[in-house]
Amino acid sequence: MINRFVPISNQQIRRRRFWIFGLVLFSTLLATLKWIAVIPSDTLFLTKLFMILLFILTFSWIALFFWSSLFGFWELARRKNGPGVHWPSADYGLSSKTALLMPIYNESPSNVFANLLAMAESLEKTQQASHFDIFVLSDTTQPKIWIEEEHLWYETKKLLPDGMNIFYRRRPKNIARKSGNIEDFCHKWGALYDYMIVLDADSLLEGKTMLTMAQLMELNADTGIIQAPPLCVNQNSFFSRIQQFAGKVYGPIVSAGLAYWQVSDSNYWGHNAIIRVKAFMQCCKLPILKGRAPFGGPILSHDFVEAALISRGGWKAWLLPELDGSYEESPPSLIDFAVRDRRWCQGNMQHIKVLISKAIHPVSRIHFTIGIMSYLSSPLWLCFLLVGLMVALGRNIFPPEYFPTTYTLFPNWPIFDKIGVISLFVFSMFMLIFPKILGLIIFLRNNKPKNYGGFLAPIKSTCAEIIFSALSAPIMMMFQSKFVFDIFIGNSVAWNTQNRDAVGTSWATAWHHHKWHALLGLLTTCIVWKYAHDLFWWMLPITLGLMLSMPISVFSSRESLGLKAKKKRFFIIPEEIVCPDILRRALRLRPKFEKLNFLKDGVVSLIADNELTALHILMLEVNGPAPDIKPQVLDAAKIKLDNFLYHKLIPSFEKDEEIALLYHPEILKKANLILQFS
Amino acid sequence: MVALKLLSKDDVITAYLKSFGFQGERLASIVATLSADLTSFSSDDGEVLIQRVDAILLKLARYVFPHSHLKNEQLLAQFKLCFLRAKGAEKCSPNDLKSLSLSKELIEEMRSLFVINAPLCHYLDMPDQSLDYSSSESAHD
Repeated sequence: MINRFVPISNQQIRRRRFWIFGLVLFSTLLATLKWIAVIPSDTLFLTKLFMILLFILTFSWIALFFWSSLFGFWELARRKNGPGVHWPSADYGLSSKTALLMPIYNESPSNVFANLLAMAESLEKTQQASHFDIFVLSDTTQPKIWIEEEHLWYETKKLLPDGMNIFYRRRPKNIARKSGNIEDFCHKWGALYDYMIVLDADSLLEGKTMLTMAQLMELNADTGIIQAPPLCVNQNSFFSRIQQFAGKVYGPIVSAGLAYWQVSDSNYWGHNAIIRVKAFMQCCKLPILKGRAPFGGPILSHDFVEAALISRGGWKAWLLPELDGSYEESPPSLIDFAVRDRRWCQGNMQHIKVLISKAIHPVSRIHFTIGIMSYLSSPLWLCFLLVGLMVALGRNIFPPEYFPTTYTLFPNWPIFDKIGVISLFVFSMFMLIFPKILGLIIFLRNNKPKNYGGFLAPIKSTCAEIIFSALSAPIMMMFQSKFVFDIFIGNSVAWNTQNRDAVGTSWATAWHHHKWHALLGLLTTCIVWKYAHDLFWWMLPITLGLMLSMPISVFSSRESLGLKAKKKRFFIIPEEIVCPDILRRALRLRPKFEKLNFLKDGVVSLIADNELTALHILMLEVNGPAPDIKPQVLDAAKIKLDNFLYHKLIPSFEKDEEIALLYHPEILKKANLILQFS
Repeated sequence: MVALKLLSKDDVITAYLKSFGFQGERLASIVATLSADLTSFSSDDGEVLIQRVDAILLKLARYVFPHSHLKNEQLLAQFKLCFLRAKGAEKCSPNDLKSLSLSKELIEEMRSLFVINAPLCHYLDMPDQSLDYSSSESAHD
């Protein structure tokens, strides 16, 4: 695809949005009218109203996904770039300076630095690497991991290509989490950089992609954010492989569809994006929301709000599906996915407060609504199912009254349009599945069969993915419904480190998380079988998914099953067969960094190494000031350290004790001197 | 305080030199030479001895890195780090240590190995943003 500038007027943008949302409204209206017609005529009025409302909310959500994907398919089929963006020529030389920001929080240091070095090497190949600096912004609270980070930063520095810089800073207090981390960078060093590329701990961006992002920012001076859609890679559990496949096959038409109607008012996903520092600093100091958690307090899902504030400030935000070479990793299991979802759910529900605030761009309000609905749709769907079930059960348990007590000329014959219900169901399924087929068509057109395991491989993988989605959707519906309920009754969530390692879900863990799902599935199956037999087969995908939630969770978390599927040519993406250099390099570097990472015992390892003790003390000035440390904590730490130094008793430090020692360079220096005599 | 049970002058000098990479017979002979020469080091208090050695090293560090803005503690750590990376223990003669001077080559190498963990800060504040929910709330809540 040759990247040429295609202008787009505000009128054309409005027309695009008119088409998308007009079609959503129109199809929802038609479907709702049909739904009204098929609801049994003897349903109570309030029940009927409730069913109609639920139908509108759930169907419109499906319709938006459908129409957006359709337009995305159209854009990709035409092979045209999105309009409104000036693209750089191949030899465009940068004049700006970009900071690559890697905010980390108790992540695996080996993986983080392996990824960073791979990205640095990839940048070097562009011959414009001197325009980029790397910043590792640590909010790590575990002292042992802090020490490992410093050490591996130091090793990475030695291995970095000439002319490139990598910096490290650890905050003593994790104020406002990731958004506070980025703000701290802006406060201290924002003045030195034109742009910043924000990464996640598992992000990988090819050098040419980062270069193109910086070039785009230079050529489009009114742009605040450019988001590159990331592709999930590098994981082998069955669950992750399905996510990776779905991302590769369906992701492009979803992204292209979003880009089609969002145009220059796109969203920001928190990573794999470049931001104009000036715009960010002018517009994005996030307020603390009034009230208590979970709705009040620091904004958790900061990315959507930052995009809205940048847009409010008059800057443009682009989602550019044309930018490839952008990667991330998927959670390895259904439960890890749900754990991440719990955090995101709270973050998105918190956006209800932002949604209703003044002076937010209308498209930003749509983004917030989509984010909120992506979680709220689950309890709505659950209510819809329950109400429908109760209506059906009610009819079977309490047969209709054909001849009521009041006089009527004719019997009261309830009308139930079975064909109408089936046709609505089939139409809804069509709207959910057809975009996947369109995505598959684009995938088959854009990739050679030898690069994805042969022509039949993606077809059978798509079928398998649809079946897995059908079975796991009710499980996620239950998870998300509980999350929403918890949030609305005031239970907040800890924003912990995401699990990125595929260790597999145990049966005990699966029992803990899914026992109520399985019970509900079993109960519903029995009730429907006995009292609403007609519904049994229609409800089977839902009830089966719930009843099998534990084995689905356990087996899909296993790498062995994922690799077996790969052998049978399921869920293969081209990036596995023709592996991009950066992915291959990052994977090769991980064991190398793991081998280098010998400081596994925290302070005890640190003080045994002269160079690394000096390094840690040197870095304290940037990592300071020290947090408040209770005297008794420091005293306890010193006693344990003394016992180690003079009596060789291996200390078992509490986290605060070890942190206290790490902030006292005079103690570390002395301990290092004493150890010279060991 | 972590109790320092290095009370003799020789203990302190040995520990320091070992932490700077000196070892073996070379270390023993240098300690003997330096110990004999550092007659002003008469205190029996290990803490005081360390402070005196630090003061000497700090002078050397300021000579090697004259333009550094680092605080004393960090400058000493930087000096030690660069000395270790440059394998200064193998390149320093006992005379260098006696006169507390380093060769030009070693100084140049140490300067080239200067570790910067972050650029100098250029502090800029970000203006607060507000999200007004209703006309009754102030824009500056």
